[in-house]
Amino acid sequence: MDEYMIETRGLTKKYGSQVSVSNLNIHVKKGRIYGLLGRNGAGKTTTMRMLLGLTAPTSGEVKIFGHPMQGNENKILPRIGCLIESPGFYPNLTATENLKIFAELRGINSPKYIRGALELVNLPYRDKKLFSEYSLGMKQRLAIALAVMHEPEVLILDEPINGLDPIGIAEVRSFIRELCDARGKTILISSHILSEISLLADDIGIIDRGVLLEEESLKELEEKNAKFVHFIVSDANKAAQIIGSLFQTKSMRISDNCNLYLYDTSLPTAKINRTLIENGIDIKEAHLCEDTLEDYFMKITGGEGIA
Amino acid sequence: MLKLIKCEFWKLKRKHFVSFVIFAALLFPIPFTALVLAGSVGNFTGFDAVFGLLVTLGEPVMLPIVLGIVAAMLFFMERDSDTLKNLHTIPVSPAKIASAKIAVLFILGLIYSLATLISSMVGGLMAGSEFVNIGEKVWISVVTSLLYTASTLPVVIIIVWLNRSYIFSIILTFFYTMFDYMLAYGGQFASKEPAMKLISNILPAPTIYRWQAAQFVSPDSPAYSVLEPYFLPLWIVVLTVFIIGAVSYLAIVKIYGKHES
Ligand SMILES: Nc1ncnc2c1ncn2[C@@H]1O[C@H](COP(=O)(O)OP(=O)(O)OP(=O)(O)O)[C@@H](O)[C@H]1O
Ligand SMILES: [Mg+2]
Repeated sequence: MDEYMIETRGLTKKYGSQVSVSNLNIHVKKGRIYGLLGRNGAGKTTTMRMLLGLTAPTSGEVKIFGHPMQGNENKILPRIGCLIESPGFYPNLTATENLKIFAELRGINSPKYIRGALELVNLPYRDKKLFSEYSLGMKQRLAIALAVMHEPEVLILDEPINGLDPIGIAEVRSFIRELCDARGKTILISSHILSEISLLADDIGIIDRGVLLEEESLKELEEKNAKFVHFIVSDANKAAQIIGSLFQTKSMRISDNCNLYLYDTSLPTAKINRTLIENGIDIKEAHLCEDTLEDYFMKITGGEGIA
Repeated sequence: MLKLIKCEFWKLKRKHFVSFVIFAALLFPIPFTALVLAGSVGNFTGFDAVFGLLVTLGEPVMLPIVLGIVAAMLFFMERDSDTLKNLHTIPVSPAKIASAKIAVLFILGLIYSLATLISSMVGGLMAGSEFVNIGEKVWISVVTSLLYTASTLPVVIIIVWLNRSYIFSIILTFFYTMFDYMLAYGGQFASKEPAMKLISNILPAPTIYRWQAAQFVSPDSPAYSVLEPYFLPLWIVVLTVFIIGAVSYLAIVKIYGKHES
């Protein structure tokens, strides 16, 4: 039995000797929004291209709706809407004319689908403006319109909010949410912007240098995020030694020799304070903190973090 | 397939080159009409002369050049606008897209050729003649346009294969057409070199001319005795050009399919 709408097994793509996607296993559940998060060059676009059959995998398998993609493109692709990288449209045509071409090829005859899609992204129907005269954000909106026009069951959106203004981002976020909640669509969305994914996604996959580091629900991820006590002290190294020997704990981190992070929040803070002061260490501040998702990312993607 | 062809035409909207060319086809007979009025075209007169000149001297140059440029426009369109990914995910296969584009070339060739016919009727009218054998002329126009469109396909292979700029494609088309044309009207009769003989038996324009000459060179003209041994029946010409066209078509479809989306 297959409960996943999109599933990959050992999906790998090599360009020459460079491995862009390595042994990827992602699982997108029906009726949920899956956020694929990764830094520039992590392999998000390459993964999505392989899901859609635009790029042949070096090895591994893609299954969509429980069927292997390879050999079933004609059955599977019409049920998917996608936006891959930059919007691609004919510059000498208007938005409506562009959509009309793709609608025609999809066998959609009624103009109501084109109008509906344009309305959804707040672009005028039958406007005279040519695609080449569109702004970046308008082009992106048109690309989203193209992806949703034929009312697909699954949406694969590669950085859909690229180039949109804050209001546009909020609009896109709310209609993606609605497509999922009200119409039961399954949505795979990629981004390098963590806050975006954490606002939108139900499940998150973190990809770094082609490797899927983590895959779980947003909820689990948030629960996992450590609570800790942050001390700002005069000598963090010495403080760490004292706490370590007093409570037999090693779950601490030091930075700049004045910040001490203590991850075991069950320890009695008052007693720690007193002991440190008795040992001649000044405590400037002490708070109970919660790691943000962002910090978590920095930790697992090895430091530099995600913009 | 019809849908795809229709879409290819929609994509040409506001590409002024195409309408400009059809318009040019309508103007092209003017100089030829002038020639005919000056009385310098041998035994043929009026409409017959204008039409004959256009079909044997005008279209063999204009049609391949125009269609080569249009082919570059059509085959570079998806590359330049990054729309191939949108087509592949519909899904539409590259082979079908390429086939539709080639079909558009044939249709445009036909339109061009019929526009030429219409304007040569106007030219003929000015030269003061009556319209004779219209049916036959429509037939010759149609056959000529199909043969010359097919004769353009070999250069389209190279355009699609190298996948370079428009300028490059235009230059390439121009040289191919000129070479083909010169062989047709001079080279194939003048040269006795076996290599030249072989080339002029393979290239389409010399072959097509061997059918056209039989239609347009009058038996009383001095050229007739020179050309007569070369005359070919239509079916041999069609077969030769068909083979050239079919092989080119397969090559184009194959090469276009390899382009990354
Ligand atoms: N056609 C290609 N040829 C060679 N290498 C490629 C090709 N496409 C992608 N790559 C490489 O694969 C890696 C992953 O690229 P990809 O576009 O999937 O990253 P991404 O996660 O989408 O990044 P971004 O956030 O910048 O869009 C990069 O190192 C890139 O250089
Ligand atoms: Mg990308």
